[in-house]
Amino acid sequence: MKKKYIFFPVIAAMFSLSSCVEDEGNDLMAPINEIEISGIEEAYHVVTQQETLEITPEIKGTLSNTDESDLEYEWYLCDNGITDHHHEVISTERNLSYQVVAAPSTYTLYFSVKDKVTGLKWEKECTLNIISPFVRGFYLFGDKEDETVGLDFVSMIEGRDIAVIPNILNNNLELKGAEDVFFTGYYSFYPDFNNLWIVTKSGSYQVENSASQTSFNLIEESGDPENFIFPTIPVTRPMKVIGIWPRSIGKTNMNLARTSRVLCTENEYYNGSFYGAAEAYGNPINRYSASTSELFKPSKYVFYPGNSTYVSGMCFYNETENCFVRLNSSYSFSKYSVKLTNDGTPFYFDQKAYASERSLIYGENGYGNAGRSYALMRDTEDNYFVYLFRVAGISVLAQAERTIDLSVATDFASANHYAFYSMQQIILYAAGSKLYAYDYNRNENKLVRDFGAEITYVGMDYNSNNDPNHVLVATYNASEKGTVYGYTMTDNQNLIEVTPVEGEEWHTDLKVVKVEYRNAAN
Amino acid sequence: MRNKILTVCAGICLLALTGCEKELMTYEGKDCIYFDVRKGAEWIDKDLWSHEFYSTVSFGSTLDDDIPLSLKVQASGMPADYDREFSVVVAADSTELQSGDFDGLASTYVIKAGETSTNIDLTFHRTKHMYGDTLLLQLQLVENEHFSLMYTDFGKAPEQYDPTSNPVFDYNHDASVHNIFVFDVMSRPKQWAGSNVTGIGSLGAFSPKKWKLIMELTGTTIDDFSSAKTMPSARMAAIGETLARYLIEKAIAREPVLDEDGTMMYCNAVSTLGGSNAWAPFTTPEEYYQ
Repeated sequence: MKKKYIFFPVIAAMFSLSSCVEDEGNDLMAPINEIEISGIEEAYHVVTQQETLEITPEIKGTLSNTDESDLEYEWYLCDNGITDHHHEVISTERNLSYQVVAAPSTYTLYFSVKDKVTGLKWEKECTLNIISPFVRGFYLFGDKEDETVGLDFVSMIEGRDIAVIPNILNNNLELKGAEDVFFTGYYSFYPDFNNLWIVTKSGSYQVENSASQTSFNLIEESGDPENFIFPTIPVTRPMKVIGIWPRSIGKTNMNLARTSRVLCTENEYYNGSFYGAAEAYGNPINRYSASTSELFKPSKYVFYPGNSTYVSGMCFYNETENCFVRLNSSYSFSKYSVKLTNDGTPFYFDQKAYASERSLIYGENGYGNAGRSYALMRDTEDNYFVYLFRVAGISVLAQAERTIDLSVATDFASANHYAFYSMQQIILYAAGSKLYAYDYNRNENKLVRDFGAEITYVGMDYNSNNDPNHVLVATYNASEKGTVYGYTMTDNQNLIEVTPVEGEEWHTDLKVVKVEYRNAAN
Repeated sequence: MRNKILTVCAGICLLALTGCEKELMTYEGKDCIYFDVRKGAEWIDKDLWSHEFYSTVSFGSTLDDDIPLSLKVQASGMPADYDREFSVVVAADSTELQSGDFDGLASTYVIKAGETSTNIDLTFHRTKHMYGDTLLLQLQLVENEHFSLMYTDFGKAPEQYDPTSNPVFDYNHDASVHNIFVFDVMSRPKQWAGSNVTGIGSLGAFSPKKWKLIMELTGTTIDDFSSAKTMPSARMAAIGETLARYLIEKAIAREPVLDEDGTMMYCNAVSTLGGSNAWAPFTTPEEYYQ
């Protein structure tokens, strides 16, 4: 009986001791199948949105009976972020075939193999350098078949074929009526001033332009001129930005408007000098005194030396009074404009001085002849003239006047696209489907080509390869849609020679209204 | 023997259970009522907002003539199952505001059944005698059958943010009293291009009178002058032009606009646009018209 009473405390004591026993296991070992991965290079370089990365790895197991159906595969990208680290699975196939869409950057690419039998994983990594196709090339801006605007990019990467990347603009506002695109160019120290703008029938819009992106949105809030133009005198609203000057220069696309610029809206022009501050403008300067609210209507053409990396003065055209004007001081600090006057040698700045008043039809700044500027004028009797002049600081030097002989320059009166070849006195013009080159010095004309499709754009391109002879022409017809052609002019004063550039024929769905060069690393 | 063993086992079990029960003391006595005006950023837990010892009403930072102010009154203790009234009075001896300076103060307020706080909502009105001055309104809670006033030296809870420090305004820590300082003093905004010493600059020397005139002429707001984004130097230059045109026009009409110091209001554009009608900073009308 006594033993019986002791039984319960003894059991309780035994329970309390149970935690002291350890399971030390045993040393029995079984071989497992270890996976060896090979056939993956240390680094790959691919262009996003254009190329497909193909990798066929070799997989070996240490056991002779490795069954690949027991293996699971995963290819994933690691963005190597420190504070915001992401992995993105791009394939679960054994062999990788990845049409690259990831944003340009340097990634680590992992290939992971899991043995479903043992649950063990093996990995092999390599560097994947995804290159942007949007660093250097041409923006093509125009209307799509559904009448909304679109933006394509002619991507030019060293060592790779030129390729057209279509439809890179996220036109969420369904904007219609393409009119213009302009890129300020690139300067690394002032990234906020590297701006891309599109101009449409309904207004102007800033567009994202970072080369690290794969599609580009409209910048609605900060791109609204009301948020950075603050006039205290009456101006035309809504404000539609149609240009920022000076434009970029050279193959490097140097942004000359990075700290000081003139910004043109449809009815006003403004200037500003920023130097570290945000882009902002006060009152317009298309007026003859800082104390007046009376504004004249400026033309959209702005004149300055097109060959210069340092621009100090600019010349404008007053459409209200048909006269050329300059700024009262350097373009960054001017408060108003000054009417240009001269004795009419070789031409009048004031077009009212002519018996048949003239008006500005087209203007352009050239590279050759020391950055000469050109103005195409028409008088009230439909005669055409070319003014050759040079803007030098606040001086404007009238250099020559030429007359367009309409009996020689076939279809000139019906032309709607022009481009001045700055190395010689030649104007290219397009009328319908025909492209002509007219030497207004020797009065000689040449039909360059009848494209059989409407010419929608003609422009000199002396920047993309630092070649003042390069010309771009865009055409459109319903069946073939858009095509952009590259041509080269022969720099010979006795010869009109316009030759197609081999390989420069790019196809697009757009009815291109403007081709704009870009070379910006970020 | 059996009984002894059972007694030992039972004793062990009882000992093991002793830690499970605590005797809690319930609150006794009247609840306390006090001003619990809190301030903090929206993204911070409101329980951690600072307890403020005073409030300010600044007409100098707005063009509005009426400014609302809400003061939270908190009761300590548990919610009651009945409405509890209390009253607030203006401490006449220390208050400098006059009738018409504010309204909204009721004779009694109620902390409703099931609740522990309510708000006193006041509206302050801009009046002439506030201009250029700082005036005090002192509110005093009144003890009654529901509430006592014990928090006469209110401290800061450990995790709460620190209250706004101001050596002139934050002297009162008696939570049954709340001080409201009302002032109409326009101070120089963050964005103002001009020197008070030389008088030059796009906007010239600062004065509240000039600032108000600028806002009237250009349709700008006090907020516009608070950042370089909304008031860049280019905008100030444009505003200066508009101001100068107005000042010059008035001067020519022999109705000069005088600044608060009695000199002719000035900004740089007066010189650049005025021509022979221009004047220098700090010019008196007598000097100008002589």
